[in-house]
Amino acid sequence: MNDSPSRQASSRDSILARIREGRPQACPLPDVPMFTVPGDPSDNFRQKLLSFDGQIVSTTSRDEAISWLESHIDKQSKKVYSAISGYHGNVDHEEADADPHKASEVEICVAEGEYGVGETGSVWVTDRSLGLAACALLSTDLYLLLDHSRILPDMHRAYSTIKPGSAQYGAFFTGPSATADIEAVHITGAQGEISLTVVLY
Amino acid sequence: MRIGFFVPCYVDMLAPQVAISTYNLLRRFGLDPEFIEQASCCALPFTDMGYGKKACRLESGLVPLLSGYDHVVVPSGICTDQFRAHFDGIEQTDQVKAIRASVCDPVEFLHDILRVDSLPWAHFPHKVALHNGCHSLRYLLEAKPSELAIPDFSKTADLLGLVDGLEVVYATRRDECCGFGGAFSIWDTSCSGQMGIDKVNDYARNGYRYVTSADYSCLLHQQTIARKHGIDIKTFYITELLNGDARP
Amino acid sequence: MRQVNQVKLGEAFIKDTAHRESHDRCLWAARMRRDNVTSAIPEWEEMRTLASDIKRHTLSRLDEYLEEFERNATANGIHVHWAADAAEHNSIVLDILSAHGVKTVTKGKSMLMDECGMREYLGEHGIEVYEADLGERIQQLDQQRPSHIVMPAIHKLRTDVAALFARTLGSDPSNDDPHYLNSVMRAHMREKYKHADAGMSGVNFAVAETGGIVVCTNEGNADISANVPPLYIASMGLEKIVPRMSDVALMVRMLSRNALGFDITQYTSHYHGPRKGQEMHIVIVDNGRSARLSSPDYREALKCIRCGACMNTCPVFRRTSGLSYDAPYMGPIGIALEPSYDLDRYARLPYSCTHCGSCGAVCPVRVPLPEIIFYWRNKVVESGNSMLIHDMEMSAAGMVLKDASNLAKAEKLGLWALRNLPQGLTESQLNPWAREHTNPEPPAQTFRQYYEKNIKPGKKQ
Repeated sequence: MNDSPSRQASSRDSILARIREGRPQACPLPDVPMFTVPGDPSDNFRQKLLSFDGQIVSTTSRDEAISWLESHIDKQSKKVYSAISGYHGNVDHEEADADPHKASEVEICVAEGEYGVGETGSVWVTDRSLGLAACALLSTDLYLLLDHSRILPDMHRAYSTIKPGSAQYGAFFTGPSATADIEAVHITGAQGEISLTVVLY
Repeated sequence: MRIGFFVPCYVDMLAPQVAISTYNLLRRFGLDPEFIEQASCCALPFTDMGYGKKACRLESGLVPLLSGYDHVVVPSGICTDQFRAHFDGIEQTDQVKAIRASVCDPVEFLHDILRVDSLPWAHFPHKVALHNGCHSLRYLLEAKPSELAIPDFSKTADLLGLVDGLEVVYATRRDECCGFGGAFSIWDTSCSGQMGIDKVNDYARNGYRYVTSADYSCLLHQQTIARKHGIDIKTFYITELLNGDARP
Repeated sequence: MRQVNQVKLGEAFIKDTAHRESHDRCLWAARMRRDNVTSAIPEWEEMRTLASDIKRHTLSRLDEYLEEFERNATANGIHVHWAADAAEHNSIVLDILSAHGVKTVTKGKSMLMDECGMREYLGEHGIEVYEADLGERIQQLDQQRPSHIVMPAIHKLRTDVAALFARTLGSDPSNDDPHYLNSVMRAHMREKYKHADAGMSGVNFAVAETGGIVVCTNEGNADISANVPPLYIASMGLEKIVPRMSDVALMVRMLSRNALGFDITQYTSHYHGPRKGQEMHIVIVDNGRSARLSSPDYREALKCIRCGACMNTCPVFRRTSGLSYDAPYMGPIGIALEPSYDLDRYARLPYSCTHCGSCGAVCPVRVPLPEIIFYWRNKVVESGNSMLIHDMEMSAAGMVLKDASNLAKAEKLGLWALRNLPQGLTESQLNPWAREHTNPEPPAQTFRQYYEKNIKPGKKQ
């Protein structure tokens, strides 16, 4: 190892020393106001999610949401990973946890969305709600259940409510993965999931 | 009100009509602009190229010449910005600060100082494409730059709106730089040229024949590029239209 | 080292009409979308000021926030490393990878890792790094730098990518549909994800109060790289710190809107520790940043959040492409940053700018890019790195413009030449103006002459 801990320690100290020497005059840290976004958060959420090529299924209760999943997901021919209670997939959790590389076999992933954000159509998910995040990311079709009363109006309120620091992995998923790296042509379904459906209840 | 009249070097030599129209327009408002004969250049070429020390020498020579006026009118957006934003190589005495505060371009002077609301002598019943030069737009803020999320305004369009029959129109890429950029047009001829071609083609596609700006340096660039490519445009400095001097 | 000649490199791209037009059109479309989405937010300009003030404050107490971040990240179970320069960054990463016996890595986009030349370094040490972002992978396969910090292969046409993928990945050379090419990439990367021993990514924001990082991407590749293998390494420039999570809320609202004109990135992901059974490392890199902090003239460039909007809007960049800057960072922010690494090599870059000011007007953190570019022009001249031809032109101009009488003489001479010399001479190749323009039509008289005749006291009409 050509990088002894002591050399790194000295780099740390010398970097901090250089910063202390050169840092500009103190100036105040402004508070970020809670700016608001006009419109009804639920309407905004739907409209924005659609604009990101997400899909929406509206149901009236969690039970109805789950029976929608039961009737629309083909568990006979597809590998399904479920991270929600009340709906069972056919991919073994322990096996997947043991080596997330195996998650690449998952075709369909069902997980809980913790919050929605009206401003952007995003769904907040964490390693708690996703189970093994790799399954959601490597799946082809991702279904996120979301309680419509948990749609927050905007990003400022989302961050103050969610406390993203409390999960090891927490992310706003906004529509399925996408790319525009070739001639800026927008393509839905890049590396992550190809479709994202939010089942609202 | 004592008005100094500073004529930029390129205007003096290549576009005297810019200064003549501006001078005569100011006379129409009962003013007696004093041409600052001994002044040669605002030092922009030096500042622009990074030769701050050379700029300083010119700047110190200009101080006595530009002092004592309530307003110094400079018919060129880019030179006006030079005085206001970059006349700082020399010591910032009260005299220097007063000069920097007194300098304005004709759009600012007519719109903000004189608050002109009628130009009964001006008549030009045509569509005229307004090119807000980058310095007039983003540094002097004579109109809302399209990058900014602020309420819409345009001092230049307000003034042109006073010309009988004139319809203000814009290139599709309305605030895109035309590629003049001072020394840039000589330093990077291919890029400057391409930007210029793109700009004049934008007018041509829209069927615009007349182009105006509060910066004649842009117009000189656009007009000579258009001519090289056989595109028919006619350019007017804004005061040529405001003073009724522009002819189709 | 040889000076980078952006003008010459850019000229080749300008002459390639198909590439230039596509490049210009794609980036201008991003700029237009940006204008549309930002102008719909009433507080947009206030947000820019807030973001700038937050960044400015952070820089003024950067050492304290870095220590706070380190403390909290360590408490979260993240290993934090410090690298003084690119070489130390690379060796730290290599040590971590070697300790885990890593052979292959999938990696999300990181401008910093590009800046450090990490991929090449790891390659020399037998570690295969697969860029997992489509644009980055295209550039890696083509052995080119990224040409844009957000859209790394935007200077290429679909036909270029089809040919490249056919050559390197065995795809159908006759199919240049971007959807097909994307599916080739997806299938290709799926195989890599299956076996990757480690994942890496850059960092968009590092939050001092929580000791976590935020990574904003669209394709999902960074999240997969971070979540699948048993080892995750993220590298960050030390200026990526923000004090609070509420600052992230503000900046996340701005980043993608300003970059591409979309409300948010598809994945806005927060990492506050390794998942069970995983190890997570963050390398904090200086590489010249602390030195920049001490300069009042260009420290503001450290506020940059790498949205790329200055590139999208720059009229020179759009016509010449990012590769012409021959540097890790390109466009206006590249001109602001690169000379601070190597003034000799990048002495010409500050002149690749018309001073249109658009970059400064779109910057979400109000980096005064035009002023910094001006600053570098002065530094180039002061340091003796200016070009001889510029020195000569400026000396000549100095003499002509010394006073009004000299100017008048020169004008007479100039106008005489325009009127009397044959066009073939005045518009010859020796006159750079005449390459793209005709000469101006000489007026009948200068303003001075008009003034003498018509206005001068005693001669008034």
